[in-house]
Amino acid sequence: MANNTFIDIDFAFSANKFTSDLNLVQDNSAIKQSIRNIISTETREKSFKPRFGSGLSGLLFEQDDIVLYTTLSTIRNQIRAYEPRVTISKIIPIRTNSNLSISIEYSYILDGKQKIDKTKVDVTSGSPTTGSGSSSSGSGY
Amino acid sequence: MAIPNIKLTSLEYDDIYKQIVSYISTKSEFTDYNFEGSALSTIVDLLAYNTFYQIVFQNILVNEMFIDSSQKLESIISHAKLQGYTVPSRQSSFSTLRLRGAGDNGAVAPYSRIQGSRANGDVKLFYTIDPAYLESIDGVIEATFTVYEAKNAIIKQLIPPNSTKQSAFITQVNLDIKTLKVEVDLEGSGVFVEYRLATSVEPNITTSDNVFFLERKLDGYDVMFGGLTDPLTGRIIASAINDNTKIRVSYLIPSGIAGDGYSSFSFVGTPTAPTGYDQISISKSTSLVATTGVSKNGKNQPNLDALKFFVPRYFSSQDRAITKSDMQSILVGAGYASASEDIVIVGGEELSIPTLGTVYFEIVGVAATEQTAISATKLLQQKASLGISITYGVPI
Repeated sequence: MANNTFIDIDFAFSANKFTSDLNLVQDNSAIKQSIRNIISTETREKSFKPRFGSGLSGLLFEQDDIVLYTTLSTIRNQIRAYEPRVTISKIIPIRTNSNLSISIEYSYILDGKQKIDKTKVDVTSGSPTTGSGSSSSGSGY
Repeated sequence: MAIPNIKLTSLEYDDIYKQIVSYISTKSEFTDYNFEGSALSTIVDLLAYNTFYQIVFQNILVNEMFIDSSQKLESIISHAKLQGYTVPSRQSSFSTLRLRGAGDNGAVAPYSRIQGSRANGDVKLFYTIDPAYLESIDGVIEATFTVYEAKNAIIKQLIPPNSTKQSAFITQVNLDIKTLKVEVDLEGSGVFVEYRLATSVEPNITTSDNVFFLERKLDGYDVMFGGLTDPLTGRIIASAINDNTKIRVSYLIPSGIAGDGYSSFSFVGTPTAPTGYDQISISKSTSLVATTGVSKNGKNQPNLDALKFFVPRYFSSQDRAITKSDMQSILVGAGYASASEDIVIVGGEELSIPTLGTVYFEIVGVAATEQTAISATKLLQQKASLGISITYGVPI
């Protein structure tokens, strides 16, 4: 993926304030949006692509760690299959009080240089919201 | 890069998807169309799904426009209507019974109830449709008649007439049209006359003829009368109904294929007699024997492939029994057999010793002495050319 520019549509479908054109996301933002989309899609949700998606909502109210780690494994496999631009280095479940979020650390190559970033998906809220930042607890998977 | 042509004949989702991706790949504004997680990929999915949906819908639409490719019964009913063919719905299982030891004279009225049993103890009700008369055959007093299985018998039900449309609607789609009887009291005087089913605008029908036509709808049957004026000739084809007319219908609602396989029959009580005839006597010596074996030919729905085969042939024969396929389609259409393969027809000229002017036919599993064979022969004889003799039973 060297010397590539990644350009995607902003999934919020927001308009540029000045030109009224659809906003675009580029490079790392495009990759991050793609990862979040893969994780937040339910299996069998996408037409004619029943295997696409991670089944994250199944973790809601789930207390069994075996189910959690199985889902984390699914997320890793999904990103590997559908987001070939990145290499996953860590997927970390973060439990804070009654909340569960999943942090994903990944690297990608842009303009011939390797770059590292992370994104976080909140499971507890039902529809995963995201943010980036450092992980605070949990063991890497 | 040239913009690729879109293949309109593609019916597969994957092909449609690839074509849209191929189109987007010619544009430089976006690069992420190849990554499944991208928003652009989701939009491509949406476009492909919508295109696929429209193509499938239009494909179904075009298929249903022709009888050859129709998959829905409603479409075939509509196509068949244009060919003058009324598609039957559920059909009764029937059996021919021979009654002996019920006295020296007497008759059984229509819609008499007969209980049929299976070896496993299952019981179903069968009904007579026509009166059956005891008569002496080779010195034995007996009556032979056909009984039809039905879970419900509607007898002399009044249905409201629509004089403007010259029709009356039966709100029952599962009736067996073989068992339908229509009686009309034209002026509401209390005298009902039975009308006969006409299949086409027969040239010799006059306004005094008591006929009705039958049209199948999705939720029932339209009984049509002849009072409409033909726009082409300006004539009224048969007797017309008016606002005072009373119409009553009788028919059976069968269980379909579930009525097959019943072999042991007995009257439920003593059947009534038709007006002017004595009631038969039921005693220990009364025997009611199924001469055709177990009840058979019950159907839940007509076979769509059989309809596609018979409807055009029915039309091409113009309701006349001239060729072998004419005779097959008439017999299958009248419910004497379920498929043309069940009917063997041999022209007299095909025999080793040719018998010109005679057609031999046989329905598989039906003996010449059975009521079915007799009435099928009568039906073909009515529709055959003058000078042609129809004989049941193919010579060996």
